[in-house]
Amino acid sequence: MRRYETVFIADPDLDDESRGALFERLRGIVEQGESFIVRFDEWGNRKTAYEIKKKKRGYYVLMEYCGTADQVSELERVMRIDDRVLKYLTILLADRVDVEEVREEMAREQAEKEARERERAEAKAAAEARKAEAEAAAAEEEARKAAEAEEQAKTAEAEEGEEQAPAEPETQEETPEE
Amino acid sequence: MAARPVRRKKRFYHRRKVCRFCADKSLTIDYKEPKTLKYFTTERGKIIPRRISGTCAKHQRALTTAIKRARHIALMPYVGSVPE
Repeated sequence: MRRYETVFIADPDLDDESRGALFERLRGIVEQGESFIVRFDEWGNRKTAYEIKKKKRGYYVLMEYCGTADQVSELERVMRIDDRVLKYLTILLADRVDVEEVREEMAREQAEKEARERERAEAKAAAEARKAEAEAAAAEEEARKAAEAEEQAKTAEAEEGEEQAPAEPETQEETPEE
Repeated sequence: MAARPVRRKKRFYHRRKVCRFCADKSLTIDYKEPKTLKYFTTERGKIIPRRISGTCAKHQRALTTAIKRARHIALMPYVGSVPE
């Protein structure tokens, strides 16, 4: 068995359903007998460097698999006929593969991906917690500020009152003296 | 008296060119990464020769195949835009 890598450009204007059908068909060709797909990476809609069939964009997909030469020729034949595939490129990665090793690699990658996802989820949760905390702190701060402002206003009022209150008797005191 | 041609001393800066891929082992040549390959093409999209870029023979070989593959799958242009 050999290890191959095929990049193909699917029609960017396909809806999800027909795109899914196309992918299933191509996967079906590869997944026969002992062959299996190592990686199925969708790069998504990207701008192409030049127009292909009058289209400036393309839906790139990277497919890595272990299979035989017959499967590759079959896959390429189907892609040539199918209008939904604009272009493809197949590259031989390894002449002989150790299936066990590849499986291990796949498992490792899967684990890594899961770990990454978990990490991301944790980070997200942490960020949310931080955000909530920050919001709570901000609210508290605001409340404190409001209270302070109120207090200040009160004291200012009181001071005003105080200032006014002693001023009056003074003047009153002053007048009888004169 | 005819003016003698002024013999000007040619000033060449022989800057030692180093293969970027040998100097930086972490740099990989992959047709799926047009960003790194772009550095080794002209604005027109031509592959820059070894004598100018300073890439070693081994890496230049890998580079050309990578660029040609990238062109085939429309990640890089065959003919780039004309620089103004």
